[in-house]
Amino acid sequence: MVSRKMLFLSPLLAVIPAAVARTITYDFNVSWVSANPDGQFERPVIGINGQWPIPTIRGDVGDRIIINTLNSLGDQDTSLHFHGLFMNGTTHMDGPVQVSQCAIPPGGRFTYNFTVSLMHKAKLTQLCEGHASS
Amino acid sequence: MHPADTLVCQLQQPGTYWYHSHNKGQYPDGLRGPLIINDPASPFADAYKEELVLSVSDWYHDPMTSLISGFMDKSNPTGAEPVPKAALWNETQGLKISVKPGQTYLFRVVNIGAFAGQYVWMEGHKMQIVEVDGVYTQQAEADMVYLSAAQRCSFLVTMKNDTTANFPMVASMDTVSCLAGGRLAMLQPYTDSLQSLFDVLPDDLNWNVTAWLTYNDTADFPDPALLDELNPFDDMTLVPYDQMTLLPEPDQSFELNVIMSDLSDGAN
Repeated sequence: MVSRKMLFLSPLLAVIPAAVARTITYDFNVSWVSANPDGQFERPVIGINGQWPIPTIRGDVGDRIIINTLNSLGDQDTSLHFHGLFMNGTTHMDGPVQVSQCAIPPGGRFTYNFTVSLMHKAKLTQLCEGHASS
Repeated sequence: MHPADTLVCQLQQPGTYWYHSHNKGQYPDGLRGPLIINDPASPFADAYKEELVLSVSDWYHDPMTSLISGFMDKSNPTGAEPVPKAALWNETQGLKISVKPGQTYLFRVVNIGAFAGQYVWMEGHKMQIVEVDGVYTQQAEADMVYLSAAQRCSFLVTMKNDTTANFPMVASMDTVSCLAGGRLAMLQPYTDSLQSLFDVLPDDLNWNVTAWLTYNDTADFPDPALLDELNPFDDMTLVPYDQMTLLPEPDQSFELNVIMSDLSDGAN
């Protein structure tokens, strides 16, 4: 029934503080650095902004994340994938090369831009109906 | 639905995730790291004071370009994966994690490795599992967890009210088999054809890595106790926090068979 859907969608939408959601921007310059994490062997590793290990990405639910990525590896393509995120409506930001995007070539730039993650209304309705009927 | 009923919908994706290169198996060369989506409305928000994010991983000395060309080659028809050289906590070894006595922490652990599953445990401390792979669970107590590559587990740990000793926190690469816990029984008919995950075990390979819950900088950092048996928590028993009921029997089912074989050029 349409009226029942409206009844439990609206209070849910009301509790999502859209005004509080932030945009978090990262600038990632991907390049080779050197590391020896096991103390046995110094070797080239792929760092971000001259550092390895690479940074932890953090956001709150509902935030938008923007990652301006520059490939400074010189000898390899690259891309970034966000393991476990549904990327609902933003599958072109998901990262798998030759699946979601062309690779970022050496010297190339790509901006990842996605929200973590407000589910599309239609999907929300399906989930909520599943609960309502149980 | 009655007005008094509660409705729980997972609108968003709080939890523990990770990000990594998705180009030609590149990420084990280092382009991998945790991605945390914080949730102010977490059902466990009041249960802990501080959060610690930790990764476990395997580690190679050779670059992925050479490892992959050797792996996917006609000289490797069985598809034996290259054996790692070491295991890491937070992409390092010798990690010391300062902890306050009596405090409850949320540990978020992610396996960002290329290949190896890892057994994870803390000597002298119990883990209360609250999230796996971005899904809140009913709290479940564990002495040891198993994380396949890419899996995540968050758990609460309450520290002792005693600052005289430090405690090993161990991650141990699964060299033998991913058949942890009850799953072994399910796959019994197929065990004849199983091979070890690490096809060779070099004499100088240490498949364990130790970190320490550090209560006291001046106390010893003891080696972990050797275990004869590994008994990880059976994560098939986890109950989702929202206790959503299982879906009913399907109306239609489709069988898809996936096999590993060799290509016409001999590569696996």
